[in-house]
Amino acid sequence: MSVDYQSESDDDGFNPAPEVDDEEMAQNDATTHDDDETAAPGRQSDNEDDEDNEENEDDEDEEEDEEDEDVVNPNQARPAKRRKKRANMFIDVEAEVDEEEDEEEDDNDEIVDEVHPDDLLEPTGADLDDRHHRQFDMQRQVQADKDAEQIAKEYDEKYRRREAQSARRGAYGAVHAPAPSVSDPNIWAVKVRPGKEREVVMAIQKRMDEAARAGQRAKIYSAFERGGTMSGYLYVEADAKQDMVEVIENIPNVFMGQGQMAIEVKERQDLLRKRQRTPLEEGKFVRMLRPPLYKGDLAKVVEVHQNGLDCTVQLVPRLDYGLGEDANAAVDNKRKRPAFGRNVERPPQKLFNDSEARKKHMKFLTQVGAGNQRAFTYKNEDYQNGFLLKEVKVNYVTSENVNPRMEEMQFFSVTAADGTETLDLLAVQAAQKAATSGSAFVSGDTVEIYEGEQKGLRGTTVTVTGDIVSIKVTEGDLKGRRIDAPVRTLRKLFRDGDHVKVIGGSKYIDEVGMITRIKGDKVTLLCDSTQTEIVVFSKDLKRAADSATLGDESKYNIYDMVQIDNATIGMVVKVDREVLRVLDQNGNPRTLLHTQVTDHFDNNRNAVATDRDGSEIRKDDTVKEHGGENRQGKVHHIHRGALFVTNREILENAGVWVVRSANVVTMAAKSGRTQAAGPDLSGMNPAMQNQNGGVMPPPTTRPQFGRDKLIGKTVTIRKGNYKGLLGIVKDTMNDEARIELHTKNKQVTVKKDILTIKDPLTGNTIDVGGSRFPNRSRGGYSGATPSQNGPSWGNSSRSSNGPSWGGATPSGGRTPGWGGGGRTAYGGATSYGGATAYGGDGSRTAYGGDGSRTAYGGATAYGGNDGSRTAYGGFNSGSRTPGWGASSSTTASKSNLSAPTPGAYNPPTPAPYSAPTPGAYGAYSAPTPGGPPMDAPTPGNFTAPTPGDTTGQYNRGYGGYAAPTPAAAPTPGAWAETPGMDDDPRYD
Amino acid sequence: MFFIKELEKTIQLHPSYFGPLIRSHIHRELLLKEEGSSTGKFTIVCILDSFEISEGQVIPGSGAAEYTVHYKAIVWRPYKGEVMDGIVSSVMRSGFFVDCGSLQAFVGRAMIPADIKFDANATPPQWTDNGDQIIEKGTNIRIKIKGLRSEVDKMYAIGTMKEDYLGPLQS
Repeated sequence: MSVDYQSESDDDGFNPAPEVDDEEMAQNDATTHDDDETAAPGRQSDNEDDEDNEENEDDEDEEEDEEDEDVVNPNQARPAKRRKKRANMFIDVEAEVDEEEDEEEDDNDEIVDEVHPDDLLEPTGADLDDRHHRQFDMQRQVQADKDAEQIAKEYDEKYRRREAQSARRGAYGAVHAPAPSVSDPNIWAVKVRPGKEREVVMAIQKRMDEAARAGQRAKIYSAFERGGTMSGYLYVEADAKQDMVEVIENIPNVFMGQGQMAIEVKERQDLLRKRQRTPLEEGKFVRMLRPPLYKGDLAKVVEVHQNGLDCTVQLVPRLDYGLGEDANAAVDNKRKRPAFGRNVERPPQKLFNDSEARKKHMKFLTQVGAGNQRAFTYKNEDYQNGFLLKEVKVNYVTSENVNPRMEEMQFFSVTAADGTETLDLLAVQAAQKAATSGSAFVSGDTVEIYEGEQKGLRGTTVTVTGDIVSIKVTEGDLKGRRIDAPVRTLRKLFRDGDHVKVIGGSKYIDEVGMITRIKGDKVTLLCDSTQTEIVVFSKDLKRAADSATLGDESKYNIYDMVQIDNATIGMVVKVDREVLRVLDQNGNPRTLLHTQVTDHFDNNRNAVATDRDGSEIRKDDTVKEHGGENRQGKVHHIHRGALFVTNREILENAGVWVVRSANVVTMAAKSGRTQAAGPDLSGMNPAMQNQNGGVMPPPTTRPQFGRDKLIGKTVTIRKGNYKGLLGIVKDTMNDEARIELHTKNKQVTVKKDILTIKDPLTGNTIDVGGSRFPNRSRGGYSGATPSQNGPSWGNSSRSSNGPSWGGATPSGGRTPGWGGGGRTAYGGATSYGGATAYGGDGSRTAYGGDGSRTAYGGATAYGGNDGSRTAYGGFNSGSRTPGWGASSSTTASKSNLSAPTPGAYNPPTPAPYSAPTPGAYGAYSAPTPGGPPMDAPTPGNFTAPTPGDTTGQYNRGYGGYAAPTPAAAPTPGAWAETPGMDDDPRYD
Repeated sequence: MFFIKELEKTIQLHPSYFGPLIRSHIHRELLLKEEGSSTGKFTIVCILDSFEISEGQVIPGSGAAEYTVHYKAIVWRPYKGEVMDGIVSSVMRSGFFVDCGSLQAFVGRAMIPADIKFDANATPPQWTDNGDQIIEKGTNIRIKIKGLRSEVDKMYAIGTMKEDYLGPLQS
């Protein structure tokens, strides 16, 4: 008996058309024989009958064997009638009474009916035989009574009717196979060991052969199994249960103890009906039907076993690792299954975690593989790489309507050795093929029919109704026509370069990109966001708007900064629907849920870092990695010495990488930064801004070189607890001095500021610098410059450094240097030499004139100019002129009184000094100050207050202000000089 | 393709710039901000000299003045199917990027003739047919645009060199 799966899979149910003919024939034959027999009674003697019967039975045995083979084949008709098919048309089984005869006999008497073997479900052998004989006798009698003519007529009529009938049937086309009826032999379902069904069938076959050889009559008509759908069951067709039992008992793997179940008549047909199964293939996705724990879960077929009945599937386990168990519950073995209808909550799908399992169920857990092969056996189930490998029967899974969702697919993505995750696209496609429905099409899609008669037709979709898409043809002869086509014959058509969006089907959902290649229904596109190429199916694509963003649902965007935890921030490098891919400040990519990060409030827009050479780096600067890969990019964000740098040409992490600021070299030219963009016209003119005077406070500490000159000096303390006490400076620290007091033998530490140096002999105050310009500091600077007072001393030495001038010291503190300069290093490096000359004059009063300069000093570089002027005039009145520089105006007058406040120099505007304006200084050195200062206007610069363009206003302003100053009048020389400014066209 | 196009730009000026130099300020601002910028559809290559500045209008609240400037500029707009020359800016296994002025184009593997293969071992990495065609960073190349995508201030394109007369230029 060949149970053939191949043939089984052919069709479902019956395929009656050709078959019924066979059967018809068989029936015809059968009746013919009957008639033959009855017609030629003379040929067979009465006593041959038994033999005849015997023979028939033998024959039948053989036939039955054949039938058994056939029966399993669903192409054959139902088994009940099978026995009527005769190989030998001259031999018939006992009592094949045809319907006609039945009818005839019905007319005659009811006995015939009674004795019909088919009608008896459990006839007893002896009775049956008796009746047969009697019946035959009677028939013969009747036949014998007829004359030949009548017989011929009967035949004629009979066959004509048959022919007509079959013709009629043929005309109708569809033929109904006769359904089994109660008169057919019964069928029992017998339990056997699952998987051994075929063996049992073979054993029965053997038994029948033996019986045949021994000349015994076969007791059963057929035995068959139904393969995968009803494994564990064997079906036996026999007249009596006893017959069936005789045949099957003592065959191994048959479970006689469980009883046999008679199949109801109306269900018999279904035994041969075959459910069409798509064959399982390894790697395919299926859905679980059973066990209930995994019902509906997506699974991947790992292996289909040899016997075709079992398969191994890969599942995402649903385990609670015993956490849901009630430890105190009594062991309840009685209840094998939960009460019906109770809906037990399933644990969620989660990959197997051995440490979880160890917590409570150590005893159930054994590790199988070694090394990084993550294989475990837990509660008698195998887990590998987190998946459950479960052996199930093929009918526990279904490969129809799998439609895997993205969330489910994520588990099954294959992680390659290099960490990249890929999905087996083919498997996904196979799983989703059945899902093709109209929903993938939207009106306006360009589609192509790729299957069927209209293959090659192209058009745009107009409407989609269920699975039928209406297309307006755009090319070819049918152009303009509307055609309906089923969805499955359609595919979307794209062209190279089209901008498309992935709308489903793969993990790339919502990705947008441009098509670079189309092959069949696979489309390669270059993602906008990642600049990588991905392959998707054309049905999953949709034409995209010109620019679309990925992950609309997410509040985060690519390149956003996010806070991962208190100490960690990161930059978003990829936004997926569920997760964000974030590169943290250590350069590690992380995959996080949207909820796991918070906004990073960028409170330091102007963060500055220094590169390895000490140059400053700001946002948007171009930097280059030093060493390593020599990558280059634009600084996107600065966070505590970590730079987030972007470069579109790098594919990894969307072109973002993190580097320590000490490992990069800035590519931006120094000082080029502010120059590049030009002034911001919508903001305050930078030149004006500088007017506000020095913003930067004086540095509190400066390195001091050499021995502090204060040491050893006799000083008095002006303030504090020790006010008025005299002492000697023993030592100095930053801004403090240790003083040995004369009064007590005690050393105290006080600020240098509050010391006044005294002449140890005379007791006179030696004001170092300060005595010369006693109130200079007061002059206007008192407010701003704390260092003016005493410290003139220290300051002077400091200022002697010359550069400090230019430096960042707008304060008066520096100014004193000016005065002090006369003394010491003043002549120093800088153009102060000029000033020294002044100092040389000793005519400090002359400096009174400086007061006026001071006034102008506000104007910065003009200071030089003023200086010269002052020299000329030496007017006190000049000093009177309230500097137009607002900041110094009050000062000016004050300083004027107090004297030669060089305040003018400190002034206000640090910037002018910071931009070294040699011209200005030159003014001092040059005895004829008029010209040079003009010639050398401070370099045009936006930061400098007197730049080209803007200077104009200044100059003008200067002139304007100058006019009212009385000082202006008396210093004609100065004014003579002014025309020099005409170089600047905007002066006037 | 290049066009002359009339354009308009609004420039704001802080009061501290008011003065005789207003015009030059605006002019400078215009050149600085507009030349070389891309609108997503086209790139402004050069602003022609004659332009008109509207009357300034002081914006209430801020005191800044707003000027509308009409000007003509030479603009460049790439089209699908246009053949253009560019310089290879980076070479990868999946293709290479070409800078065509302000347009960045990608030529994918599928758009490169089959006989030109990627050679990762060369320094720098290159696409080559082992003959005279070598595509590496800095190579002058002629491509044809297959697709265009524009973002707010930048354009991206997909290019091909799988047609006659396309490919690296002899220099």
